[in-house]
Amino acid sequence: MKHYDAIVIGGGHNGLVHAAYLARAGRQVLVLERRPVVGGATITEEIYPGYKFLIGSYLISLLRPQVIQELELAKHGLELLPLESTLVPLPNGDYLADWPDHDMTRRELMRHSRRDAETYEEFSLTMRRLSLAMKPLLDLFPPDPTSLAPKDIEQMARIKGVLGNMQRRDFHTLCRLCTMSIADFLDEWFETQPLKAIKCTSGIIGTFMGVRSPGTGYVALHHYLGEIDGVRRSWAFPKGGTGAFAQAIASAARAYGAEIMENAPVHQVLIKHGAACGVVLEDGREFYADRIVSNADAKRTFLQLVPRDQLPGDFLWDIERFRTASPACKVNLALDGLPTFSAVPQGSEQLLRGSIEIAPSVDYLEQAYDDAKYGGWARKPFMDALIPSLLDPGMAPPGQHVMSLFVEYASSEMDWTAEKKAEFLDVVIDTLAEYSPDLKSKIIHKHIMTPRDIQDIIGITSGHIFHGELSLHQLLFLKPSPQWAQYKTPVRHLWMCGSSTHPGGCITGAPGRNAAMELLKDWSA
Amino acid sequence: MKVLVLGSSPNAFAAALTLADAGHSVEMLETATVPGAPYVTIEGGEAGLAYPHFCPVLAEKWGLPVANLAHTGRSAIRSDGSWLHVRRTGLIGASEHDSKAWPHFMELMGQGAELLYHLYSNPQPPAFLAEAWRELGRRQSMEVLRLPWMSLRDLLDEWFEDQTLKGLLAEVALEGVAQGPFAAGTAYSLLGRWANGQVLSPMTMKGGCASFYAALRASLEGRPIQLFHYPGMPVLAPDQRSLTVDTHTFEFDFLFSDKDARWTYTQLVNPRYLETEFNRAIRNIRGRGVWQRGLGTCPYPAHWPDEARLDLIHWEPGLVRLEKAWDRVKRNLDVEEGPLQLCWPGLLDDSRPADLIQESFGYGSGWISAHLDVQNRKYFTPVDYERDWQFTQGHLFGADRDLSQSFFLRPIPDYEAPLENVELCGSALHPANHTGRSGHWKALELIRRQP
Ligand SMILES: Cc1cc2nc3c(=O)[nH]c(=O)nc-3n(C[C@H](O)[C@H](O)[C@H](O)COP(=O)(O)OP(=O)(O)OC[C@H]3O[C@@H](n4cnc5c(N)ncnc54)[C@H](O)[C@@H]3O)c2cc1C
Repeated sequence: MKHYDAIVIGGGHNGLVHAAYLARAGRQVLVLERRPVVGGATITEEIYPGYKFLIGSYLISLLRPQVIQELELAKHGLELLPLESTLVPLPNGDYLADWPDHDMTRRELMRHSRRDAETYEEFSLTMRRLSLAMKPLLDLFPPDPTSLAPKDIEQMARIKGVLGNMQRRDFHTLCRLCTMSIADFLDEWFETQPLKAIKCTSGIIGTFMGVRSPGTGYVALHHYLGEIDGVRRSWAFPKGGTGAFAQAIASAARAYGAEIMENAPVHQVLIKHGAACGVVLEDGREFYADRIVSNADAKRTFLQLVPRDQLPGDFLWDIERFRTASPACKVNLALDGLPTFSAVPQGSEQLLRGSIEIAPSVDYLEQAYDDAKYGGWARKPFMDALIPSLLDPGMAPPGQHVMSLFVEYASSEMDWTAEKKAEFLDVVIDTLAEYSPDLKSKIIHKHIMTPRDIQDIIGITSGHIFHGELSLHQLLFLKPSPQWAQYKTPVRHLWMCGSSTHPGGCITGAPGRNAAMELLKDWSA
Repeated sequence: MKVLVLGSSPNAFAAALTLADAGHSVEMLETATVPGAPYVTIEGGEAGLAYPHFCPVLAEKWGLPVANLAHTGRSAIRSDGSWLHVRRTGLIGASEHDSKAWPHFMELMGQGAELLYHLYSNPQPPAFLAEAWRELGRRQSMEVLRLPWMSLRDLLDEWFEDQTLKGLLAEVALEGVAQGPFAAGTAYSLLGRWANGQVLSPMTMKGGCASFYAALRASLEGRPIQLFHYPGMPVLAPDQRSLTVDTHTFEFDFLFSDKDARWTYTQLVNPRYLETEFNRAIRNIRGRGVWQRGLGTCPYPAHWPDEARLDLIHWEPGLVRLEKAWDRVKRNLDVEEGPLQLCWPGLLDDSRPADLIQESFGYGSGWISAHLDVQNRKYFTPVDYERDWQFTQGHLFGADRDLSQSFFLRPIPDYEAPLENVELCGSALHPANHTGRSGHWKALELIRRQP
């Protein structure tokens, strides 16, 4: 039986990135993915033949540029189509739009508020400086602030350097942003409701907090880390959907010599003398390696795949209390033609080529949270919509379209029966139809992924899109456990490389890459 | 040097006493209708903050009394009529799981609170924090570092199963705070209360806060400090050398404002003299009073347990009740059944009427009358606090004390007094309380600057 250097449990994008880096360094790597297709939450699926649905992620923004370059993803077929705009249709028939081009946005804002148009520039510059300053943290392993080990001290010094280079004022703004609610923060800058609302949405994506909950400021910043070149410039749609992006990494990994096995659900990590040495699949097959790396989320890894008696009690408690309650659903529609939006004047259809946000006001967003936070769903949900087939005609049959809707809030903690699921799907479509009267007549197929479905199908605990809440007490050296935040685990030779490690969720490739760097260093030490 | 201190809270007194001890002559002026706020006692009942917690070191220095009548703990009445008693020594009427967790929870909170206490009692974080870390050990330091960022819900869900217990602790933390327990950072409020000793057995003194105020006033005797009380809106002269209220003019070399930052830099100092950036930061200060107090007469109900007589009693507390109340308040809607706490100060202190009931309730108008027959009920709301006590938006600390407005971010980031001879000295500043520390520190700073 072949012995590998490393086995990666899970072929999500981080698992694939991780495997590619290890293989690139000459290691023998095997990726085991439980599903028939790799990608995890970055997948494109033809649920209905001819219509490519994005049942997980849909846009790329935080992907580390090093990953694209070092793994030569362009050569392996990655093609990013930049988004052109963000549109907020309003109930009164008007709209607010926002482009990467500042002058266009400024002119548009002038229609709504002269004051906001003027502040906008300063706001963008501030956010840009903050995100530029924070960005290096994405590529560092988080140091343990209580440790005196040279590598921790060195890393602390590096972070101090990063923060020390900031202007004092920016540092204070950063501290405030991280501890405030995104709505309060924006109240300090703007007066136009839809403008505040659309900026608020970065603070709640994937997060079970409301726009008025402190902590959402940090989440907004996290989403800004990919937006350095001005507003949304770097949000892009991968041609063929996010699944094509995963395929590109898989292809790179294979080119470096990694083996990838689909339909290979791992049942348990094998541990001998306190060290991980292999895995056993659900069908009983066993594979052995020097290092086992889990791309699955922390709860799944340690509460399902590792025998409890192999883990210290403190650590188990950390993993059990790691918060994963999730508010996000995904809806995909197959449409017989392009729907019209009452807010979009004839001749301005190009506005539909970008993001379409159902987020008319701050109160609307907060109400959506309030409806769901006790274990229900928003009666009028927030939606981040996209019509991928406008950007990439290959996503749907000619003349037809697919529409992707990222929807919040609907609680992972409720009992998602088939009826509930259908009922919420109707809520989503009814809400959207208020802005697009002919939407319903164009729907050929509809499909919803509730948090429960994301859990069952994609394999993420509670369906949390970031493998765990992006709250301040679950960041950096606290992610996922205060003592195990550097990709290592209490089980010798068992490592982590998924989104429940620093810097967390989103399509970033960063946990996969950082973990590979640490593992390779550890190996050679 | 002639100093005028505007205000009469414990911080104002601390500033005045410190200056006087250094040989400066001081005038104190209160322009609010009611002096001594936020500590105001009416017929034995507290109309504002209920527990004077003056810095013990300063109290000793000036011979001030310390609070020494302690509540025995907290209790909660559940909707099914059963009771929960929360004591330092343990829980009574709780589940086995929670009773077991309680001592460990207390230990963790105690460790966090001790560190905070050091931060609160020093103008700059002291070096011995590093020592404290070492003592705690790595694992425990991490646990403590993790706390302040959490929401009360996340924190309490990790430890307990009893909704009543969780609700009670969250109510303690959020008394006076404009946030719900689901919001990140609210655990910091609980730690803050823990550090101030107000969670398990808050302490009052004979006669209540009024007697502390009387002691403060008595301490002026024999010192070069004069206290004036002229209600009205003070007007600062354009040269910032004198201040007039009504027909009384006070001249000074230096002015300390014990009032909150928003009030000081919008009502007192004309924003026209200040930089745009500074004004913007002042405008961005957040804080609105959301808590109020009720006083009335109603004997301690005969059928209630004896254990709770000297407790603070929470009425059917719960995280969801608290969060739902906040859902309405943040939209400026009335709350019918918000959080409600009661106590009978007269049972603790025989100088006050035994049937005096003192309520503290969040949001709405309180709903005690649905359960107890309270006579002569009067209540004090943020509207009163703003009008009669001169607190912006009726907030008894002038601004919320959440993480984004604490430590070096309070009252605004990188704060430096914009005018040469006007400075804050009250709860507007770190450590954002009425212990007298900020007044004392600011006065020392001034003394150091003036040889
Ligand atoms: C609905 C949705 C929308 C999103 N939208 C965006 C977006 O637009 N932009 C963005 O940047 N991010 C988005 N995200 C977040 C982002 O997709 C994820 O954070 C990221 O893809 C997670 O990558 P990962 O590799 O860490 O984990 P995953 O993608 O979750 O991969 C984990 C893999 O492990 C496999 N696995 C689990 N257990 C086992 C086992 N026992 N044996 C074998 N394999 C196993 C799973 O099948 C899965 O393939 C979205 C997520 C979701 C769910």
